[in-house]
Amino acid sequence: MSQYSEEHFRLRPSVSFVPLPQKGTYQFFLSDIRQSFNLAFADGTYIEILSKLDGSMQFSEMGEAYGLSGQQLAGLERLFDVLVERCAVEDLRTVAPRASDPFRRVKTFIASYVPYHAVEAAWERLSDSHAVVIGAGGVGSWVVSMLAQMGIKNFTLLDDDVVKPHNLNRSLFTKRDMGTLKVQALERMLSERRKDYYSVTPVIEKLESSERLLSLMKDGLHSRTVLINCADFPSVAHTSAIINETAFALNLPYIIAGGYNMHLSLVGPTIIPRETPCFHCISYGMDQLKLAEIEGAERIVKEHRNLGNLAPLAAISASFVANEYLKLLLALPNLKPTMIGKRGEFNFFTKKLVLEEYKMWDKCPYCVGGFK
Amino acid sequence: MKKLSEASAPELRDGVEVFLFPRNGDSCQVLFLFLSNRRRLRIECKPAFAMLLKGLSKTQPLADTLKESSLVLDDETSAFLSFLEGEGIITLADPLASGQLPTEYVEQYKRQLYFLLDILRSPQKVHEVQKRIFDAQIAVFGLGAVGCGILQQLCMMGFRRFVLIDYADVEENDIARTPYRTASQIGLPKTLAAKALVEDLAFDPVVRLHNTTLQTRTDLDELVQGTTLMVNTADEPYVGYTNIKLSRYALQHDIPLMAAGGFDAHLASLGELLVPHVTPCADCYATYFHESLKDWKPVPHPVKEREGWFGGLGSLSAFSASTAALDILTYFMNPEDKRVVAGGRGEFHFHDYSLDAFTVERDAHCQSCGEGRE
Repeated sequence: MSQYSEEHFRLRPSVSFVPLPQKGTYQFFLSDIRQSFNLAFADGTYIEILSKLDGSMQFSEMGEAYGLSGQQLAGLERLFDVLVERCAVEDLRTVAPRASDPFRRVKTFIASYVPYHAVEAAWERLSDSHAVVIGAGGVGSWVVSMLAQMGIKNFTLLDDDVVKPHNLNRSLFTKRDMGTLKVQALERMLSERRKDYYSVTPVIEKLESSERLLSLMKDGLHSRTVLINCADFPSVAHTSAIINETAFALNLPYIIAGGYNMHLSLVGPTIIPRETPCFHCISYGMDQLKLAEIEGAERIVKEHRNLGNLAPLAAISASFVANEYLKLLLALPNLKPTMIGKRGEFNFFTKKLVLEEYKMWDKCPYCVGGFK
Repeated sequence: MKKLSEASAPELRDGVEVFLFPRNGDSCQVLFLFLSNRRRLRIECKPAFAMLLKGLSKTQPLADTLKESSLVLDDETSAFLSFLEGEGIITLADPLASGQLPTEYVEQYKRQLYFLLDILRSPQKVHEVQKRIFDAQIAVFGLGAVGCGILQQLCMMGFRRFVLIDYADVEENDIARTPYRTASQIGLPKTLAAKALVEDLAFDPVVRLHNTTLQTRTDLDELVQGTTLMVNTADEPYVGYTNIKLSRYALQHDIPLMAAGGFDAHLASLGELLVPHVTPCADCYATYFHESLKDWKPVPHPVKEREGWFGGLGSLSAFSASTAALDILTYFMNPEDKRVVAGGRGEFHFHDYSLDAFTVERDAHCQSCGEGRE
C-alpha cells in the first residue's frame, strides 16, 4: 500500500505545468517564489494525470482510473515523492482548512519551500516565535508591522521615545499617536489588527548595556527568540555591540537592521552566534575596506544632525529584516538566511541590492576567542 | 547664489560627511560623502579652505569662520563657498524655510526635505518638488496589498489628495498584507478603510471614493478628473486588462500611470511607470510579453478556483509598493526629464534577493502610442 493512498493530490494552484520544446519535458513553475524545475517524462500517462490533478481523486484510485500497470504505479509513487518534496503538489484535504485561515497567504508562501504535510508545523515555528525589536523608529516600526503580518505573535519592544510629527514621514505611526510612547503606539497598532492575538511586552527604555538587556531577557526566555537591532543611538555600532554580547551569552540569533539614520539604504547582517561571522567580525572587515578610502583623513562631524530619510527606504530595509526573520525561523536547508556574513547596499535608483561578504575574523574575541 | 556677507552663517549640511586628508605641499585633498545616496566627491583645495570647512561645521557667523581660517571674503573665497553651495555641501540659510508650504507640513516632512536636498542639492528645487507633491491628486485603482501599501507611502511622502477606487470589502485575511485595522474593519468597503488610513497619515487630506470595479463601460473622466498621476493595482478582471484600459486613457489625457507590480501571482514583482509618449505604454508591454512568452504555454490549470491560493508576505508586497513609491517620487523630482523612469520591469527573488530586471522598449508600431495609432 502506498504512503499516499489516502491523499487527494492537486497541482498547487500557484504552480504552472508547462511543456518545454524538448519532447516529454515539462517545467514546474512555482510562481509565488519565481523558481522552477524541469522533469522529463518517458510515459505520457503521467502527463495526463498531472494535467487533471485537481484534488478530486484519491491517489489509490489513480491506478484503476488511468489503467496503470504495477510498474507504472511504482513510477507514479516515485514521481509524487519528487513533486511533494519540490512543493509542486499538495493534498487537498490537508490544505482545505486553510481557505478560512487569516494567514493563509503566508502559509501558502511557506508551502513553496516546505512539503504540504509540514507547512502547519513550519508556520507554528514561525508564529510562535519571539521577536525582540530594539528601537521602534523608522525601521523598527515597519519591522514590527511586517512580522505581525507574517503571524508572529510575541514581541518585546524596547524604546523610550514618544511619537513626534516629524516621525510620520517614515515610521508607521499615525496622527492619533502624537505624544504617545512609540512602543505603546505599536502595541495599539497590533491590537487594531487582531484583538488578543499579539502579545507585546513594552520596555520603555533606551538600550544602554548588555547586562540590562540580559536581565530583561533571561526570565522565561522563549526558545525561538530573535533579537533585532533597529536602534541607532548613539550609533548602530554601539547598540550592535551590546546586542552581540547578549546574543552570545544567551545563544540567540540576531539581525542588524539597516536603514537607520546614517545610512538609509543599508541592509544589515544576520548573525547566529558561533556559526556565522558576528558583528565584530563584520566591523573588522568593514574597517579594512573603509581604511583604504579614508586612511589618514580627519573626519569633520557636526554635533547635532538632522539627516534625511524616506518612507520607501525605511520600508525596504525592514522588508529584508522580516524576510531574514522568516528564513531564520523556518531553518530550512533550501532557504538559509541570505544576509549571513553579508552586508548590503540597496541602490534606490536601480532597485538592486549589492552585497559585500565578510568572513569570520580569525581574532574575533567572540567567535574564536572562546567567549562564554 | 545668495549674497554672502560676513554676518551670514553658512553651514555644513547635515547629510554630508567631510574627510580632510593631510596637507600635501600647497594643497589638501578633501572627500565629501553624501549620506543619503552615498555620492562621493573628491576635491583638492588650498589648506586654508580645508580649515574653512572645519569652521563651517560650527554654527557661527562667517566672519568667525573666516578669521579661524585666516581668510577674507574675497572673490576666491566667495567662489569656493559658491561651489560648496552648488554641490549641496553647505547651506547659506535655513533650507527648510519656505513661503510655499504650511509650517506644520514642513515640520512633518522635514526629514524627507533633507533627503531631497541630498539628491537635488538646492533648497529651492526641494521646495518646488514638495509643493508639486502637496498639490498633486493621485488616483489609486485597487486597494489591496500593494495598492494600499503605495497609498500609505504616498501619504508618508507628503501626498494628500487622493481618489480611491475599489469594489471589495476588507476581509480577515487582509491582516497578512495590508495595514488596515482588520480587528474592526472586516466587512467595511476597502475605500473606507483606505480613507481612514489616509486620514491617519496625511497632512490635511482630501479624499474622494468610488466603490466600483473597472469595466469596459467605466467612465474614467468621472473617476479621475483633475488627476496628476494614476496608480493601478486593480487585478479584476485581471491586471493586464486594467492596465491597458487605464494606459489608453492616460495616453489621451497625458497622465502618467504607475502600473504597479506585486499582483496576486507574484507579490514581489516591480511595476513600471508609464509616461505617455515617453516610456512604453501598457499595450507595448502586452505586445512584448505576448512575443517573449509565445513559446511558454502552461497546460490549462486543473484547479479551476485558484483565487486566494497564491502565497505572499507583507514584506514582499511592501517591497513592491516601496519601489513603486520611489518611482513616483523620482517622477515628481524630475518633471522636466520624463526619461528618468525608464521602461522596464523587475522580478525580485526572495531566496537570494537578486533582482531580475529587464528593459522594455516602446513598440514603434503600437496601436496606442506608436506609429500604428489612429
